[in-house]
Amino acid sequence: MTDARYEYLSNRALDSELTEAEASELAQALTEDAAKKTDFVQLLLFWETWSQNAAPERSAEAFVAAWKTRQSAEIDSTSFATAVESKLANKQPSLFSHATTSVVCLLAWFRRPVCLACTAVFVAALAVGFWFAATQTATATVSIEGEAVCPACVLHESHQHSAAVRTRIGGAVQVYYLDRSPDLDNKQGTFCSGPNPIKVDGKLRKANGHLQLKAEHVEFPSKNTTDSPRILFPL
Amino acid sequence: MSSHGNQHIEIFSNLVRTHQASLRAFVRALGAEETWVDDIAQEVFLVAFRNYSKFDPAADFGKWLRGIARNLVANERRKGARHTRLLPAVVVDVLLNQTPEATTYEREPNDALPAMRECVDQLPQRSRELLHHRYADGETATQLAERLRTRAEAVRQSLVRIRATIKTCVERKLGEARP
Repeated sequence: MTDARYEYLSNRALDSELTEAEASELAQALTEDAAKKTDFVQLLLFWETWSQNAAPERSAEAFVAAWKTRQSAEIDSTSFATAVESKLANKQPSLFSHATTSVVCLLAWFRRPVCLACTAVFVAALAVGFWFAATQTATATVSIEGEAVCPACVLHESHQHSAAVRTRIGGAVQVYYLDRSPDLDNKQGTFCSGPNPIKVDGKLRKANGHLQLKAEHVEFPSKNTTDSPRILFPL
Repeated sequence: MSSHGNQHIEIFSNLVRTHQASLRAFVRALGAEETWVDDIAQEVFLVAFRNYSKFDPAADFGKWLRGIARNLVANERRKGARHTRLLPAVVVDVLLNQTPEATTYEREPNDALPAMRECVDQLPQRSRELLHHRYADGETATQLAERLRTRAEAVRQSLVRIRATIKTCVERKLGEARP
């Protein structure tokens, strides 16, 4: 490979513009020529260092602050998960014992009238429990058209890369956060490079103050079809 | 979080502050895409924080971090996901296979910075502006071309020439500085 060609390809790499064929060509040159490999590493180092010093959002303090935020979020999420697991662990034996008691009571239905009251209370509590659970997980099937965005890369509200749909209707902006799935993980690039047009069919629910969407069908229409993002079947 | 936990984070934050610049440069040299360098470097520090009890205080902290970084990048490379935070896999393979001396990463990037500043100051104003928009504003060649009302290819060629000029200038200055 000529020096000029190497210079061109290494610069394409610096600017994240290498095609697959160019990447293979550059990799071969780096493998065959140790001097070029050293030079390429130096290029990456120099311009990374320059970038850290040129961009205010990449300053040392900004980096440390962002790390602290992520560290705190990690600790909080771990504490939350532990607390939930602990509550569940404490609840399970209790529910089991209630059920066992009630089954025993049913068997003794006619012989021990006091168990009738016990069973009635349990059944009523169970019904209230089911009703309450159903209320908490209320969902609606919706079809939403809007912009595919990543809460980290595009919305800058999180450090966790994920998928979301942003809609703008009459100046009002609404964000719908998509539940993670292997299929959406594979499409993360489209969300990170957003806003890109998107249409999602799925089940919408409210969770932790967010509108959370479990996608059943996702489409990325071409740009000219999303001039007027809209919710087709709102809650 | 307990005050004990906060204290730990504060102490570790000082280590993050000390090592972040060289670690980020190292992560980039392992083949991380420019826009994902900070994300990966932060993950390295998160892993290091979680495993800090395993770290031998007598050992080289920077070297330990670089080991974690190498593992993270190698794992990401192995996943081979369509969405990746790395340069093309064939290039990352070459970069992961080389074992550079720690001193290269620890010393040279930061040592080169004053020389780079001097060299950039010597560039014509238009070239300095181009570099500013490319690195301070993070604009791509296409965005720069729109701003400058020129072709993206012309911007790319300008960047190639500017980087070559800076490289020659920095090497000369660093060569002069060495005994």
